[in-house]
Amino acid sequence: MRYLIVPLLLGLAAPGFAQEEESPVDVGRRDLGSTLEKFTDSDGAELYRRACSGCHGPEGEGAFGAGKYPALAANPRLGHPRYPVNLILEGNGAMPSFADWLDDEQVAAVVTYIQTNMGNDYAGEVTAEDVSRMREEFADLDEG
Amino acid sequence: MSHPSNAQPPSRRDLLKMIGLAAGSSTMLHAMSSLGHARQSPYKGPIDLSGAPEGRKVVVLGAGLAGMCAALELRSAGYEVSILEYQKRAGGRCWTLKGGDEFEELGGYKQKVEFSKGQYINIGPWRIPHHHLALLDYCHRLNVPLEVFVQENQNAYLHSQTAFDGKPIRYGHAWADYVGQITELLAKSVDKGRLDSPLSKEDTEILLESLKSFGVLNKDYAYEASLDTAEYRGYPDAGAPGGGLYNAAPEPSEPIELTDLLKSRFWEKMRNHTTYRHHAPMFQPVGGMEEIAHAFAREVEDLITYNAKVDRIKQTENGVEVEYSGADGEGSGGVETADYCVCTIPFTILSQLEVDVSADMRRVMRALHYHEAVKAGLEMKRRFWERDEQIYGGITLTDLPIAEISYPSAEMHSDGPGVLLGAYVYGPQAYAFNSMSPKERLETVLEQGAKIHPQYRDEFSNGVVLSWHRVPWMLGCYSDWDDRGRDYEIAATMDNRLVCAGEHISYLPGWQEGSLLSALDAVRQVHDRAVKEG
Repeated sequence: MRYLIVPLLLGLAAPGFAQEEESPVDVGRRDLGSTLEKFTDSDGAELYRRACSGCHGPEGEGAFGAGKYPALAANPRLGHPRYPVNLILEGNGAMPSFADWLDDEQVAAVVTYIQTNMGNDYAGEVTAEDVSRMREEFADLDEG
Repeated sequence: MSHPSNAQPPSRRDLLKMIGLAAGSSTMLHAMSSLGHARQSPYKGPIDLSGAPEGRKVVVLGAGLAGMCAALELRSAGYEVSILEYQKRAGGRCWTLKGGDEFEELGGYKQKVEFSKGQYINIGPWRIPHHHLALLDYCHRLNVPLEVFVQENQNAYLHSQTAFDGKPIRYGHAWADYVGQITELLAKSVDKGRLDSPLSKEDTEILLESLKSFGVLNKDYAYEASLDTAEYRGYPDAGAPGGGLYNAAPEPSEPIELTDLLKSRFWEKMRNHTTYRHHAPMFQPVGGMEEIAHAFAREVEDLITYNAKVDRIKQTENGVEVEYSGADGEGSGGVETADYCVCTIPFTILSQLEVDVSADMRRVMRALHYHEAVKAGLEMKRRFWERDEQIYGGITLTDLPIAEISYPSAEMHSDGPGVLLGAYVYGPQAYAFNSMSPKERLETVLEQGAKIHPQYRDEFSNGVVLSWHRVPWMLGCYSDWDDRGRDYEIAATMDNRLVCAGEHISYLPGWQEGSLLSALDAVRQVHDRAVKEG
């Protein structure tokens, strides 16, 4: 939640550099919700914002250039969790694999968020155990 | 020949000179290899494509280095060539941002570069190893002047948020003290016969002598504060060698304790500059990396259709048809027909297009992922790193998310402003930056950098932060092969009439040399096929 202070801080900053005495938080040590190896948030919305929203858009609207990042908002393909779990773990084209950076709980949390927000209203009942099982299954498919 | 009456045979250098004069430089390269000067590169001089059949046409997709190199060589071999390029500029990732430039990321973020005249940031590739022979040869042939890029700088910093109270440590201090003290441990255990070593007694004596010399150890094999170690690690601020009477005599400096160095994990970064691809000297083009793109574009600009978004690539038994539309939503599209296609579109994008390729090729295109990366260019009003801290070029490495600060190798010691590479972020943290607005990214980069250089607060003038995953024509930074294997062969092999090229079709991902070597291989495949088909 500390992160939410940032827009306020930006309001004070001109041109693009807050004075230390004005900073309500120590931004240099601000947690980016990630390390070199992992995402560290556990909340699905936070994970979505940090890991996914840069490409798929804050509201899941997608982005379109020479290629695209598909919209996740009101996306009928997200009905079954297996599809997003597969993409997150295995990647596809411009979508890299996040398998090493998110644990099973985090994958379940972000998939649940995607399935139940941004105009999606699906069951959202995927568990960390489901993700763990699928992780093994996809890895076996890769080897096979 | 130069020594007709001399009984001595000509020196190797004389021989090379004769061969070079008689037969041109590529023969000389071959000769050098056979004479024991083998160079660590598959590049053996300009490609020779003789005997091209008449009237054959090649369409090249993408006007980055790979595409322009392929076009240049194919046209000079006698092919009719056209290039389709998505952007309104040539060069692809060979991209230098200068004052007045504007660029837009996916999601609509626009950044305007406000650097002073002559200042720039190489936001893509930024350094050239001395063994990237193809790139160096093209720079030579196309008249791109190079200057030294400083990679390793002993006076730059290593920085950890949790070690040494978060204060940066001079790279040279950490390096000398780490090497000195691990050498001390080794020397002492060898001296006491505690090392299970396969060495003979004689070799062991030489080893001890060498450890003493290499680690700058005293007669008891200890690494300590002394004028000897100061020769390597440097002197204390108030004890550097001077002249005359006052404060002239040098004093020893105090090494950093091994336990602190170990806990700082600085050792993780100490081989960074000695990886083969970073061996000194490295180079950069004078005026920015994009000078290379400009030089290629001078040769092939008349072949390029800009603002062309490829929508569909059809292949038949007899040819290729590429449908394209205006990338900016305006401008006329069209259809380009050719006998062959060299396709340099990154797989992040190509895998999304309707392309007639084999099922295997399509699978490989989807399976190849791209690295994320975020890079920042920060203009500072004053080159404080030089004047205040005596850091001329080189790179500071930190465990902050910005990961590194690189000091400009151009215009050293000038009074003017300078542009720092203020961040080169990888991994999950790059996605965190990717999700921020440019202003928020800049804010974060500045706050982090100020931990190392407090001068940021007064000296920052303006800056840009680019996230490569949001670049509309890339959707990533550079290819990330897990295990090339058979998939790589599929990607690199001509598929019907289409052959892919670019850094992703090389063992040098992210390096321009990989793009060029891949382009030359693709051109070779097209040519062989064309000759065969007549």
